[in-house]
Formats: sequence, structure tokens, C-alpha cells
Amino acid sequence: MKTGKWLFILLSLMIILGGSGNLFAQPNTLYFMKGIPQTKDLNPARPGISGGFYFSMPLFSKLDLAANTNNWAYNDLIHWGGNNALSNNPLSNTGWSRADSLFIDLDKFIGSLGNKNFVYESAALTVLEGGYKKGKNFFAVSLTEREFTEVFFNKNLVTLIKYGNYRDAGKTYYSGNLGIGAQHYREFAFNYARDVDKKLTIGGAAKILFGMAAVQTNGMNFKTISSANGESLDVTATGRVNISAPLVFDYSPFDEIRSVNLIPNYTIRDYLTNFKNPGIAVDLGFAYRISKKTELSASIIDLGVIGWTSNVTRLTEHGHFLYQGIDLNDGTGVVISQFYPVINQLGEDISRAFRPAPSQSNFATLLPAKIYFGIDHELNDNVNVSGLTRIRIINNTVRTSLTASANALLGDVLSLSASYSIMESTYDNLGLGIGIRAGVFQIYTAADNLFSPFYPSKARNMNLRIGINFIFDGGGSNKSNKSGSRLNPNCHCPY
Amino acid sequence: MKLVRHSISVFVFLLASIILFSCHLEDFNLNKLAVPVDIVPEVYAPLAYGTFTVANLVPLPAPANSTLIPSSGIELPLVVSKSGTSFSSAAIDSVYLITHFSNNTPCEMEFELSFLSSANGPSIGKIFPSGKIPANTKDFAVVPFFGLDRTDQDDLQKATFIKLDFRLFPSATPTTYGVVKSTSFAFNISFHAPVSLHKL
Repeated sequence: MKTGKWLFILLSLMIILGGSGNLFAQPNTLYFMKGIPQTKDLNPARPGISGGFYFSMPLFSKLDLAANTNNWAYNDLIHWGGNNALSNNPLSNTGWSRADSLFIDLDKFIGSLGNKNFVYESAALTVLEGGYKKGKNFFAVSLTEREFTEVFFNKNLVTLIKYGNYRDAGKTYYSGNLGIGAQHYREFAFNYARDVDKKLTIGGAAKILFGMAAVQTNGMNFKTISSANGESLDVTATGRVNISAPLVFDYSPFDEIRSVNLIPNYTIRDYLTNFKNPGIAVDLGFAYRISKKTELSASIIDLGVIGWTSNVTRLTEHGHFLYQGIDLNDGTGVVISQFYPVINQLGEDISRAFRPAPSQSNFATLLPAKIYFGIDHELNDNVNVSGLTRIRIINNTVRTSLTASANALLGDVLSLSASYSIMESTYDNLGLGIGIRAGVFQIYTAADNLFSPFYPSKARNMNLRIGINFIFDGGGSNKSNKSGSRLNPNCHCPY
Repeated sequence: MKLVRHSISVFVFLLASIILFSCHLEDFNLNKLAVPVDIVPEVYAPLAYGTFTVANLVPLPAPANSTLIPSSGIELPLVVSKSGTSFSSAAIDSVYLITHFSNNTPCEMEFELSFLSSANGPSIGKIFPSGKIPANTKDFAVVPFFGLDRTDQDDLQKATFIKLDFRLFPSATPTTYGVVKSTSFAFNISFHAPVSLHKL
């Protein structure tokens, strides 16, 4: 039963926190950090070691946390009152001290929204990772638990909440697409990279995926047409929800969902050992040195799909109802004698008009692919400057971020990267990456927005990568390592 | 080597400390959310509608066909029980009823909305009159809208019947009941109301 509760909490969190997943973006700052094997996660042709082998801290090899929106923040919706809030607020004459209270400011929120909006969060924990490089070849394997969620909604939905539908009298209102998606899956990744020649390195990763649970909505929206004289409200709702989770839906004879419960006796072990939702994905990349000091690179990450076949439920909605209110005739020309049975019947008619049709259908979800283009130029032995573009497709919209970074090496133990990014039309993303190495031990962290964790309510982009490695390449001790480090044109390792 | 290890410890400690102690989480303390939350959307929806012939509503016994419509009018009452239903919500302080009327009779009409304690009992609270509706009129908007404030809604809540009292008046020329009894009128009532979401 405790397991069941845990599962329920996990699924609820996935649903509450967001949807179908286009996030889990590692910090762009990580891309050009040197000496970190996990740079392969952003471009498999850029393994951060030039020789030897490494393994990461078992159970905590690396942790990725990320969240972002399309340029709106929690603080746009809920913030502290103040003089401005008092003067703009219709309730200000109540005399409350609003400056020490939080209040919901839908006007500001609407002002900060675009037409299509989203909020994403993701988390990934690699529990096992290791790799080695010998000669021109690099191999690595890893095991990662990933979850990501997304909520997307149209500005029209918020304006409906704020203003209601009265101002749309005589008009047609579209909610725009709204939805949610969430996935939890396990990833087994096998990386390979090869130095083709002194200029070119190519790499790839084959990933075997096993889905644990997913919620995916598709085309959910509703439309209302209200007549100017108030005689009718024509409501149409469409959409589809795919669910793969250990849930049992209980339906009424009219296919209305009466309750949702966990599958009886379903344990956490059953959940974590579910291999019935397989998937595959690939990463591909290259790095090409166009001159002695300048390198171009590109990659595509997480090009893949998961097929969901276990515990699947599909709910399909094609509802329509022309609401005209209470008919004061009983249909035969006789005036009704009481409201109750008419209202009751009306309620049932509306409910049945919008009941989603259930079915057990397998479905597939795409992974959120990302494309990177990078250029790296070595200013001197210690400092490189870099530029990076990341392209993602979120809710059928291309989202591009640009990052410029300077990557310095202080001694052979401390790697620093400072970055500035433009992400989702936000311009305040100052990032930092730090890697420290002591002998074989290495700890590193990177984030694209250094200040977001301190002011999460104002954050529009937050991400953090932290990881621990043990690298056995003879480096990290102020001695030249066996692969020659910076002298090796294909080495991205500062140590 | 020792120095490096200490550096790492200091780094990790600093990072954890900075994140733990510098993170401004007070903005997420929803216990400090001002109440009431001033989100008050204005909801608009149809409420009721009907089409009636005069003969449907005229009290029995019906007048003879040759009876002239008196200048005081013919009353056409429509009384419906509201037992088991509630037309009131704590989230709504005021409701505006919007009536559109199509008068297909050759007579002028008017109607009143009232709340009754019993089918034939006295009205409770205010009576809402429509004013005159010209003969042969389509989609006539009754203005001003019937505004029901909190008191009116309480009266509605106390009532057990709702009455729409229609009345036919003769137009310029004398009109007999026989001429109007098969003619009809129709109306639809919709409402718009600011809804305080926090009171739902």
C-alpha cells in the first residue's frame, strides 16, 4: 500500500509539474567545458578525455535539473504587493496592507505571456556511467533515469479565467491548444566516438529506452460560440489523452469515468522492472577543426521514440453541446411545472455530451530532440571562446537559444567557464561552469543562469548539472598526461 | 594534494550553502496570499427559454373568442416550482438577467418577474417589470437588464416558485381573444454575473 501511495505521488508529481517533455536540456555552458567526459551528452564527438578510462560515482554519476518557460515567471503571476499594486488593484480601497501580502496578478501574467505558452521541468539521474578511450576510439556506457514534464496552454485560456466569457458574447472563443505530458523512462546509452583524422572526430550514441509511465495529450482544445442575444452557447471540445500508468479506470454504463485507482497489488518493484514500453534513440555528432585553433561542431541529441504498450488507456473527446438553458416547455407545448427534473436532465445531457471515449490503444512518444551547432576558438593555452546554438522544437514551435562562453583553465585542476545566453527571449542568463580535479577525482557543475536558483520565483530558465567522475588518464596532478592533453588537437581535456 | 582536497571540500560546502541559504523561497509562501483573490470573471450563459401561444397560458376558463382584450390587459401567468434547485451562489454578488423577446401577437405585451413563497402566494422582494413590448416585434431586448443584488438573490433563495407574469394589451384597434389566442410569443433569458472565484 505504501508502494501504491508512492506511485500515486510520483505520477501526480509528473502530471502536476508538466507534460510531454521537451526539456531536460543540459546547460549549454557544459558543451565547451573541457576535461569533462560528459560533454559527450551534448555532442558524442566531444568526449572530454583523451586517453585512459573513467567511471562516475555509482548511484550519483550526474544529476541534471532544469525548468523553463517561454519568458514568463512565477513572479509574473504571484508577487508581493506594493504601491503600484495598491493603485492598480480594484480592491485597494479595502485598506489592506498589500505590500506584505502576495497576490495573484493576472493582468501582469497575461502581459508576460505569448500566444502559446509552456512550462517545463525535468530531472535526470545517471546511476552508472563509465568509458574509456584508447587510440582513436572512445567507448562509454551509462544508465540514466529520466523524467520530464510539460504543460502548455494558450493565452486565451488565461484571459477566459481573468475576464470570463461575457466579453465574448456574440463572438467565437477558441481556447487554443492546451495540454500536459509527462514521461518517466530508463535509458541505457552506448557511446562511441572516433578520431577519423587530426581534424575530424565523429561520434554517436545508441540508446535503449524503457518507459515507466507517460501521460500525453494531443490536440486538446475547446471552442464556444455565443449568440449576441444570449439564446445559445455552442460548445465544442476535442482532444485525446494517452496514458501509460498502473491505473485502473472505473466507468459508468455511459462510459463516464467514475474513479481512477492504482492497479491492486502493483508494487514499486513492478513499476521499476517494467520493460514492456521499449524505445530507441540516437545521438549523432561531429567536431571538425577548421584551423589549428578553431573547431566547428554539431550534434543532434535524443532523436528517438518510445512505444507504450503496458497499462495503456486512451481517452478521446469529441464533445459538442448546444446549450440554450432551461426549456420552459416540456416539448409538447405544455409549460413545465418545476425546474428540478429539467435541470437534472440538462446536467446529464451536458455530462454525456463531453464524456471522453475510453479505449486501450498503444501509442508512441517522441523524445525531445535537440540540435547543437558550436564554434570554439582557442585564444591562448589557457582561454578559449565559444559560441553555441541550441534548437529545440516545443509544442510545434522552434525554440532557439544562443550561448557565448569563455572557457579558462587555471592550473591543471580548475576549469572555469563563464557564459551568456539568450534563451526564450530572456537576456539575463549569465552562466558558470566549474570543474575541479584532484588526482583521479573530479567534480563539476554547470548552470546557464547563475542567479535563477537564488530567485526561483523570477526565473525563466533554470538548469543545473552536477557530477562526479573518477578519471584514470594520468592527468590532474600538474604532470603532463599520457595523451598530451592540449597538445593533442582532438583532446578536449584541459588536464 | 591536501590543499586540493580542502579546496574541493570548501567548494562543495560553499555551493551547497549558497544554494540553501540564498534561495528566496518566501515568494512561494502561499499562506501570505492576499484574500480575497481578486479574480472575478464575468460569466455569461443562457438561463431559460420558451415559446408559448396565448392559449397555452391563459387562465381557465378561457375568455370567449369574441371577448375584447380589456385595456387593463389579459394576464398570462407562468409559474414554475424551484423546489430542489438553487439559483444562488455565494460567489455571485450580483446577477444581470438579459431578456430578448419576440412578440408575434398583434397586441402590446409586458411581463414581470417575481419570486413567490407559494404557487398562489405573495411575491417575495422586488418585482422586475419589463416595460412595454410592441406588437409584432422580433428579438426585442428588455432594458434595463434585471439586476439582482445579494438581497434579491436571498429572496430568490427563499422563494419556492418563480413567476413570469405576461400581460397582453390591446393595440390601437380593438382586438378579440379569438384573434390572439393562437398567436405566440417567445423569449430567452440569459445572465451575466461577476463570479468571485475565491468564493466558489
